[in-house]
Amino acid sequence: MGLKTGFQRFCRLRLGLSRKKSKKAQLSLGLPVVIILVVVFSGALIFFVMGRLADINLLVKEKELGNFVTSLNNVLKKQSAESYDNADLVTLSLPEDISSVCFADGSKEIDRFAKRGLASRVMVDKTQNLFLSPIEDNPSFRLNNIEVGEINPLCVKTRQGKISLKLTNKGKNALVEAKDAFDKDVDCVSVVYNGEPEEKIDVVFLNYGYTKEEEFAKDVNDYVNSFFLNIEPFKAKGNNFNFFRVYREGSLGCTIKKAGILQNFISCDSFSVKNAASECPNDYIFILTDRGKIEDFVEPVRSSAFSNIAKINTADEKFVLVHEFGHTFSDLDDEYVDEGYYGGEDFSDSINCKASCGGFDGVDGIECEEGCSVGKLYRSSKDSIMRDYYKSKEFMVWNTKVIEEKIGEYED
Amino acid sequence: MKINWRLWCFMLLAVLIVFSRFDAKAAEVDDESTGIGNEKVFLLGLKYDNGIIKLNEMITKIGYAPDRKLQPDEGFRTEIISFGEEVLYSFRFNVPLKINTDVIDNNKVSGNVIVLNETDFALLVPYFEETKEINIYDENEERVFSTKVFKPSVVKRRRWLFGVVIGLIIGGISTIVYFSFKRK
Repeated sequence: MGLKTGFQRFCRLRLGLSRKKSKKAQLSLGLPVVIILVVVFSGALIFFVMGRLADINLLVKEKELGNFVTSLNNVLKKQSAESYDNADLVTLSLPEDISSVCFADGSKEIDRFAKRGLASRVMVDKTQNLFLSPIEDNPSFRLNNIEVGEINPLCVKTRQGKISLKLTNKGKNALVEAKDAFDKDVDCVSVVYNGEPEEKIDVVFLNYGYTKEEEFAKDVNDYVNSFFLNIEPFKAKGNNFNFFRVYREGSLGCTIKKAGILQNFISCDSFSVKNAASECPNDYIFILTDRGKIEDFVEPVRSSAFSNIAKINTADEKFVLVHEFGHTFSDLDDEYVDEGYYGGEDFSDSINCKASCGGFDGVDGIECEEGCSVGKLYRSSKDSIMRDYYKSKEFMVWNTKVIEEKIGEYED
Repeated sequence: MKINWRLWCFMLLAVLIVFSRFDAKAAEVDDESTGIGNEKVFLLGLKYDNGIIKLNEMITKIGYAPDRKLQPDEGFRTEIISFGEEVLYSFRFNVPLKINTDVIDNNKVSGNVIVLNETDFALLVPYFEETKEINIYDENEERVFSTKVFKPSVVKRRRWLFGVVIGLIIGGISTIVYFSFKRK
């Protein structure tokens, strides 16, 4: 009551309202206050209810996760009691927002690129061996009687809130594997690893047009080992490179842009490409576009390079890979002549197309030849990978020097 | 109209209790943001159009950014600025306006350079917790792009604004209903 009287008195004195007018003043002052309170209270109430609902959902998820871990522990225990090499398939349910389940053995070497955020999480949760993706949003658990094979960590995709595993008895433990090979969930596969990404030139391969990951993996291995690391100077300096691959079932926003006969090229969404590439260390990016020879004969598509991205048509001669890498890594220009196309280009900064033979002074073994992108410029060799990779499988002296210097910046 | 002081006090108390939950929520979010997953990057989707750079989209994710040991001597420059106005990270890059395309015609390599005036491109930039903004400067050191960076925790904390907006809508409807009844 005292508060009320005080407030009324405050209104009269402060707002200069007479006793006669006070009733009207209460009316004009009270209504906005009530409206404001209704507004604030309604908002707060809704937020409170939403918060409660979120809490309930969280509790349900925790319960589901608890059930999943208990069930998994039980089947592992059961399997470890079976005879040696006895295998069983199990399907377990878990919350739908879990995209994959990862099994990691912290006591063994862990592929730090396989699942983003997992390697660092294993280092923190040293005693745990079960992790749920998204790794940063979910708790980790400890499973008993489990053995993780050579693939460490092993991440298995969930399908509609279910995971299917193959458990094989290996003595007192059960070896865990994905029921189907294509259920394995790997963000980044290390193809050739020579050291810390910050000290090496990291090349990542992405896929476009592939329907099977195995074919993509085979092509990447082929390009890397049979071509890239077989050509000087990459052969001698191969330990400066790391190679990775990322397989995405989506198309990276890639399409074949049809611009006329011999003009078709591969166009991809840069954001999607960089997003996929970021799963691995990615100084340079190759997008392998799977095209059959016949398909490409009927409708040729150009391989291309810009910035640190090269798009490779797999129907092209394989050496196109190193040709495009010459563009992205060393800024080398094409050494073939195509006046019609290159007419308007400025070559004053070109590393390998010079205005005179003097531009190659100081290097032995130069065969200064006329014609380099345009007819009036000079190239350093009769033929090279940057001119015609059908005729020459070498970068030749000048271009090799340029590439070695670039690689050297990583060796410093 | 007479103010119902008991109702007022009750509502005030209720509001205080509920808002105390907002702080608890905010603290939880902060704890999450300092958790696992430090290998973060900013991924900026940008549009270049005749010297002007605009942001298409930006995300923060766990991943890798290029180490950028090889950078052009000239070109655009990106800077990551902290709340203390320090440059946390800087690198030079060329907007990918030049595309080398190669085609094999009768076992002979030919091709062309496509020079663009406009293009979409993307940059992967290392993530720093204390990032305030990301700026891009052109060859003449003129700032052509700037974007503020909001921490995810701050964005989440602003969820209470959603509650207030809903409250405003309900309050507005209540007022209209109140006056329409009063007129009757």
